[in-house]
Amino acid sequence: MFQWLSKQKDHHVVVLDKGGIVYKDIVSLDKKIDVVLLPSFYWFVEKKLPIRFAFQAKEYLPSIFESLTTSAKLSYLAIQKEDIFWLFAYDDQDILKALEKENINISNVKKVYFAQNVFNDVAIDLDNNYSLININGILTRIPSTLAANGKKISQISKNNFNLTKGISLKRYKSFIGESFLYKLIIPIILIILLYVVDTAQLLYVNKNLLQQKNEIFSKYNLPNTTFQNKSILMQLKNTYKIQKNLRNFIETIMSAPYGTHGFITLFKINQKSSVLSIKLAKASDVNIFKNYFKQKLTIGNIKSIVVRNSILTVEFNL
Amino acid sequence: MKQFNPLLVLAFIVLVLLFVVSLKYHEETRHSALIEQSQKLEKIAQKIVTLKKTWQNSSFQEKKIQNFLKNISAKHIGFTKHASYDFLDLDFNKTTPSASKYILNTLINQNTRILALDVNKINNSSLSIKIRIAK
Repeated sequence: MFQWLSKQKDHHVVVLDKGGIVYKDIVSLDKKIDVVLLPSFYWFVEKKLPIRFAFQAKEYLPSIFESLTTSAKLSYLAIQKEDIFWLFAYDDQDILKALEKENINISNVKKVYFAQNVFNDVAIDLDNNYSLININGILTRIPSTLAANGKKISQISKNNFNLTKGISLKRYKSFIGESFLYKLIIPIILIILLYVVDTAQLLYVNKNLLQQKNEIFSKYNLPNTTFQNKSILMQLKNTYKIQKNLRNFIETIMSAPYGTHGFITLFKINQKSSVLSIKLAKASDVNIFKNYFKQKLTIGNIKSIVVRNSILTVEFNL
Repeated sequence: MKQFNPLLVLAFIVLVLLFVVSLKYHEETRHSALIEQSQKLEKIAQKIVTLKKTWQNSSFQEKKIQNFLKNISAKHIGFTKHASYDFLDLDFNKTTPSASKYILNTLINQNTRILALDVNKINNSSLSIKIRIAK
């Protein structure tokens, strides 16, 4: 409540005519203000309309003001006064220009009001050789010489201003129509919503996938980390490779052309080396075995070859 | 009079749209990466299981050795000095070179991890094999 009171206290009003400011209750205009526009800024019509509420007047307004002005970019306001409507037409850019001319920062303007709805007095002297006169219910700006002495505007308390039904000016001119903009924005928002829903769904699926991924190894009774399992796999692959090579080596040794050339008396394999002794049929058969091992051995290399008493002893590195 | 430029509002909404689209793209990429990773890990796990079954299965190894011994003792005259699932000491009195070769081939083709092999006299109708395999 106290906040509301302080707001009321801070409330400032500026009355603007085409020629400039005719009333202000503050010296500097850098505070929040309400602006009252005199009739030179708007067109006014009082009319009975076949509608119940003011917002329904929207569709009638352009045609009503069509005959009064040729300005194409007008904005409208309808205020319901019992069974009749007060209809206003105004040019936002025109008002904005006037505000700018008076060095009023538009962001400091809280609301804009029309004099027709603000002043209840019959005649007001504007202190600029003009007066506001209520002629048949329509507030009109006429030279003071033609008007009877009215109350000076500077003498009217701002608390007597009826600041209701204010408008907000359209600050931005758009090269595309507002309705088109809305038509464009609504589908975009719908697309955004669809994407958000879809992404949320995907996030949920990914969360589940991540959980499943973490459970893969435990399903096979393996350690939990990929690093550990990769290490195990490498070790197993290494074992497989060594054993495969060992078998190839044994097969090569066993497939040597023994037959009538000799026979194995000793064949030993351990982790890193191997020894093979062959009882040769003839001393010259040594070359047959030498050539065979040189040609066929893909794994292991010959460390030494010794022939003694018709026995060929070959040492291999594995 | 707080107002926003409608074009700025439109630009902001388009930005939001772009953000949401990029977020979805990011999640899509993450989704396919997760699937790919899961498949990769599944493959690793299956490979480990298969290799373990082949190379690190002592009961399986024991069975293989028993089958091997059963098989060769039925076909060849000889005797076994010592046999366990990690060590074999075999002596054959009357074998031919081809039979000896067959015995050795059958032995080394078992999925066992051979640590050491010792073969003596392979051609003069007797064969002695000592083989140590990993547990």
